[in-house]
Amino acid sequence: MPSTDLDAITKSKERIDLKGKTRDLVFGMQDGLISILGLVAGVYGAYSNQPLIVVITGFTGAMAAAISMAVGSLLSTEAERDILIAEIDEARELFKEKPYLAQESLMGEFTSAGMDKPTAYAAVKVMSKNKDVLFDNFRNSILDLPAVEKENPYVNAVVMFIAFIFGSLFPTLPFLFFSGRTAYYAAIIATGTALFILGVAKGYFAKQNFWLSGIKFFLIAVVASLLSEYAGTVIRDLLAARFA
Amino acid sequence: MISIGETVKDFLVKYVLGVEIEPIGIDYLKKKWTILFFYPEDFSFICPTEVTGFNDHLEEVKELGAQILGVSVDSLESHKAWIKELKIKYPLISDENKELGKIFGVLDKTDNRCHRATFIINPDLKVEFVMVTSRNVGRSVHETIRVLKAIHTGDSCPADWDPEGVK
Repeated sequence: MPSTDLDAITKSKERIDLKGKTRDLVFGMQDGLISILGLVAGVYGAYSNQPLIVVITGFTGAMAAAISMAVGSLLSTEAERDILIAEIDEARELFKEKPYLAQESLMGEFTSAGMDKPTAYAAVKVMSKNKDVLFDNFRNSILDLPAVEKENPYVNAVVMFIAFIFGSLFPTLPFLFFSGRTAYYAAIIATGTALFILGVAKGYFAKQNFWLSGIKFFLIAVVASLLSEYAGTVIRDLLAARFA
Repeated sequence: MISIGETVKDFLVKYVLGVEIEPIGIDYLKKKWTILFFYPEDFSFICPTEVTGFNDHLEEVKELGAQILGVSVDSLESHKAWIKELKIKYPLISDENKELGKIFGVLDKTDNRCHRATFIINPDLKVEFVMVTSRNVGRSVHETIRVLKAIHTGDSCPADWDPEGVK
C-alpha cells in the first residue's frame, strides 16, 4: 500500500478518535446552551423587570445542571466500562475453555460474508497462531464487544462540566450587560450563534450539509426560547392567583 | 438408526481419495472390515482431530485387514480441499444427497448434517459396532481400534479389555 494511502487512513483514524473525545465537549456545550437559554427565557417571561433574578437563576441553574451532567457522565462511563470489562472477562473464560467455539463462529462469520470455506478456514487458522489476535477478533466480530477505552472518565466528566458552564454563559451574560427586551434578544442571538457554529461543526464532522445543520441548531435556540418565555408567563399568571 | 447385526443396504455415492473422484457402492465394503465414520462438516475446528486421528492410525487399521471411510454431506470439491489441507490418505465420501446418512439413520434433522457416528462393518456387510456422540464431543480413535481388535479375537472381551494387556 502506498505511504500516502497509509497516511490518509491514519489521519482518518485520528479524526475518528478526536470525534470520540469531543463527544462530551459538544454534548455538554449544546446542553448548556439550550437548557439554560430555556431557563433564563422562562424566568424572563415571568420576571421581565427583574434582571437580577434572571441572572442568578441562570448561573445557579447552570452550576447545578453542570454538576449533574458531569456526575452523570462519570457514573455512566464507569458503569458502562465495568459492565464491558465483566463481559470481556466472561468471554475470555469461555475462550480459554473452548477456543474452538471462537474458531467455528469466526468461520461461520467469514463464510456468511461470502468467503469460501477453505479460505475462511485458512484465515482463522492463521489467526489461531496468536491467541490474542484470535480472541480480539472473536470479541469484536462475534460478541460485538468493543475494546475497553483508555479514556479517563474523570477527564470526560470535567470536560462535560466546563463545556456546560461555557455553553450556559451565552444565554446568561447578556442579562448582565443589557436590560429588558434587548437582553432577551441578545441572549437568543448569542445562544443561536453559538448553536449555529456547533451545528456547522457537527455537520462537517458527520459529512452532512453543514449549513443546514447550523440553521437547524439556530432554529432550535429560537424555538426553545420562545416556548420557554411563553411557559414562564403562563406559569406566572397561573400561580399569581394562588399566591396572591 | 441401523443397529448391531443389521445388514447395510445398497447405496451409490462418490468419494475422493487424493484428487481422484470415484463412485462407491456396497461392493466396496465386501471382503474387508470397514470403519465408517460420519462427521458434521469439512473445514471445522473440531472435526480435524478425528479425521487426522484416523489418518495417523491408517497403517494399524490396514494391518487388521480393515479400511477407513469418512462421510459428510460436503461436496466433492470441499472434500478435495479438505484432504489437501489435512493430507488425508483414506477416502472421504460426499453424501450430498444424504443417502448414506438416511441408510445409517444419522442425519441431524436440525441442519441436515450428520451426527458424529462410527460404525464397524464386517465383510458380510453386517454392523458389529455403533457409536454416536454429541456434535461437540470428539470421538476416540483408540477406542474404535480397540473395539475392532476385540471383535477380531472372536472371543468374549471384558470391560476395558486391552489388546496389549491381559485378555
